[in-house]
Amino acid sequence: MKKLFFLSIAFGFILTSCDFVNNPYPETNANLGDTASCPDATFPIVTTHIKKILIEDFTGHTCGNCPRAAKELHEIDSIYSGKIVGLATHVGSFAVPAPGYAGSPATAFTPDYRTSVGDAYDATFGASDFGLPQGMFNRKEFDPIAQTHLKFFPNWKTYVAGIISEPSVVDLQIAVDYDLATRKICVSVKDSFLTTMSDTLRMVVLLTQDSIVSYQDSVGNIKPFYVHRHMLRDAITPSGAWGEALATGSIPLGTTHIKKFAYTIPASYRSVVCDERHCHLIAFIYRVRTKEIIQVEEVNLIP
Amino acid sequence: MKKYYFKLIKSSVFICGLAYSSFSSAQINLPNLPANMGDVHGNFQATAQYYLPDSTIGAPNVPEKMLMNGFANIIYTKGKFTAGIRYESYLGALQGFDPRYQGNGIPYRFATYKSDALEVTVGNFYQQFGNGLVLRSYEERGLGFDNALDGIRLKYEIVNGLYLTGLVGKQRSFMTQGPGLVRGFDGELQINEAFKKLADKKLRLTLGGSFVSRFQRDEDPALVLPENVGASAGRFELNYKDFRLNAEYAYKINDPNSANLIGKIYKPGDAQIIMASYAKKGIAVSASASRADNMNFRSDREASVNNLLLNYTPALNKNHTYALLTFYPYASQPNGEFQYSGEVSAKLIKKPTWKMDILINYSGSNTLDTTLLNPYFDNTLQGYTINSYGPGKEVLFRDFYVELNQKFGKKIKLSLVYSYQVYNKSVIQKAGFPTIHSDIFVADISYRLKKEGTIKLEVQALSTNDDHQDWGQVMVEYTVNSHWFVAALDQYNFGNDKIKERYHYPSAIVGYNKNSNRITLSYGKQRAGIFCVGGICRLVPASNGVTLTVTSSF
Repeated sequence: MKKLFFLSIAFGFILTSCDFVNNPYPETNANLGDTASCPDATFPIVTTHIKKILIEDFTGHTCGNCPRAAKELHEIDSIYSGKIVGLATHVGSFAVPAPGYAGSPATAFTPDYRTSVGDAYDATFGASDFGLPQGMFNRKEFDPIAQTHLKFFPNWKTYVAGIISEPSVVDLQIAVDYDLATRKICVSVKDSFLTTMSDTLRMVVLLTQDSIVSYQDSVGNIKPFYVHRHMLRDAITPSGAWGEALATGSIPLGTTHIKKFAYTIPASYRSVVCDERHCHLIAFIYRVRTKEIIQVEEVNLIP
Repeated sequence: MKKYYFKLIKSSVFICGLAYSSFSSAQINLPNLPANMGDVHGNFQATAQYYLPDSTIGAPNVPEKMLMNGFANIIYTKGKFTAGIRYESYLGALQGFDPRYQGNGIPYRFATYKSDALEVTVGNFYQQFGNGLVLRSYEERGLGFDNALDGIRLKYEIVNGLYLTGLVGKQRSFMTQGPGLVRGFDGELQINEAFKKLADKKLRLTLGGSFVSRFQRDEDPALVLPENVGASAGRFELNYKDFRLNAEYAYKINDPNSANLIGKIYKPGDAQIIMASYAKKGIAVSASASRADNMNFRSDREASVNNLLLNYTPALNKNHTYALLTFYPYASQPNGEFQYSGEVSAKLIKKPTWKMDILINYSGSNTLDTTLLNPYFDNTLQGYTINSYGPGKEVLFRDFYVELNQKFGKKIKLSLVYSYQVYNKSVIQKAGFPTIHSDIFVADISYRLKKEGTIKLEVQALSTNDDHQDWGQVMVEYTVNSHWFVAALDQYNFGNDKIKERYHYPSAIVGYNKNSNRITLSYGKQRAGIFCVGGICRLVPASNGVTLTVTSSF
């Protein structure tokens, strides 16, 4: 009996050493939104004021160096966990569908991940003209002489380190009400100014989709199961890429606004299926004059 | 008293007008231990090769000019206690061995003792569960393969006939260890031992079950990777008179790793093997089949080629020794294969002046019947689905083999071999090559001289329209006596479509044996090729040079 007892303990230990994974994709970023329904969105009081950084990664599936930039973005995200919002914008010739690219099957590289919103950003910031990958950090204009917001990825960590400690000037909160049956999103975004300022500001809300698995050139290697992350899908704000007017002139400390937007997710974007489970909403406020983003927030579509 | 176990190595000059080789001299001086102090024994081997650059056959330039692999096992036993070390030396690993074998060290050391029914091993050990479908830790020196475990192993015969093995360890990866933690458990019940009533029955049955789990941290930002991956297997072996049947089933849970067929996939894996044989006076028949689906199991999910393999899916094809039969050898494909093999051997003529026996073997391997999933809709990263249990359409390997052995009196032996082989180079070896179909013929005659010694002539031909087309080989071997032998051979790519590349690969070897020492010296060219043992293979680059091998045991 004693022997059997020890034997069963040994078995017990060993049989528990199995991790079954049903969903291979990690869900990213903490859900900071409130689950209150759209019409009556209530927002909790913000106790810690953090300035977040939107890292925009201009990329394309046939761009061999782009996965290196995406990796850099992930590394930055893990260093400054909770302070980084990623956005991958597929633009330019590297994002054009290329069936059979570099000897891959004819079904490879067929999706079109470009969007009219992304094209608008590309036209303004000129990422694909500079050559991909390119990154922007809260659209800060680091170099007024070169007149560019774009940064090449080997220097990304340096740029982020330089602005990560900036104080927050405005809190952003997002509340989402999503109807699974109709795929309709109700989103309420609340801002609370923490300082008095004088400027013209606009607000943009974007929809992104994470964990799209398909082909990607990685330094000349064809990766059939590459995980495309933070992919820009569309603008939720009705006016599109450049959003809605928020405030102009003097904005006293304590000012708040609540903006509501509604949007229905189509089944696919340019034939790329939109899996709502991997969707996120990004809201940001930017200065019209310099395009600099003063605060950004992100939530999962389905908490 | 001193014993000289081997005496060679250090440098002297070997001049053939074209080469030099180095001799080495070392001694292990062991005092004669008193009888109650236990025994020391071991063995030693060193292979040194001097490389000559030869751009025509594609032999790479070796900056060191001379490279050497060597090792010595020294084992001490006293009663129920055994301890040992293996010193290994790669003063420049030989060409074709992984360059991560570098420098000197003692990568293998162990101590083991047995107390009643319990056997305890600490340090390094080799262990196989069943046929190896979930765990096979072993060493194959010729391949440069060694996935020894380092940790603790307990073996316990809990009741008569029930054997339990438990182990925890890390695996060897060249001169270091892999990151994964390996836990294993195996139980085997020998029914006839366990039940006294059955002890003398002709039907003998053994049942076994094993479980192996690997732990490795998930550091991937893009995927949720299972940190504990388990694999289990069940098996039985049945013997009845001259009949033997062995079967095993193995299952592995989701194990995304970089050796998967396509990217990291979460599909579970499974493998089955069944082997049956029957032997009676003058005739032997055997048949086997196996199937492996996504069974690449390693202690590091990022490991590749032959590094840190945990399990082993046996290759069922016939093992060959004649050179041209091993030109296109099958390597087992744990990611997906369906293998089968059948063999019949029979004695046809049994006269004192003329003996003849025949062996016919047919083996084959196909891919599995699968459909790749569209990556856009494969949300759980399964990679592919199985359409049916049986083999798929793509042929990986075929070998039809006939061997006829004849003996005329006591002096003349003649072997004739024919083999037809199909080799799917682009799957087994490297993508982008056509499948190779080849016919191979071998005639091997040996004649025993009156006084002493044997002369052997071997003629081989390989005919194919693929790869480098036709090859031939002629070898003459003269075994002078029980100590000396010499041999010379030429391999000739006589049918190469590119006439300029019809190279000869001549070589010569001389060997000396005495007691437990053996020294061979060879000079020649070697073609680039693949060397396999049991379906595990390594690439051998072309070379031109002098090789000295010393083996010794004590």
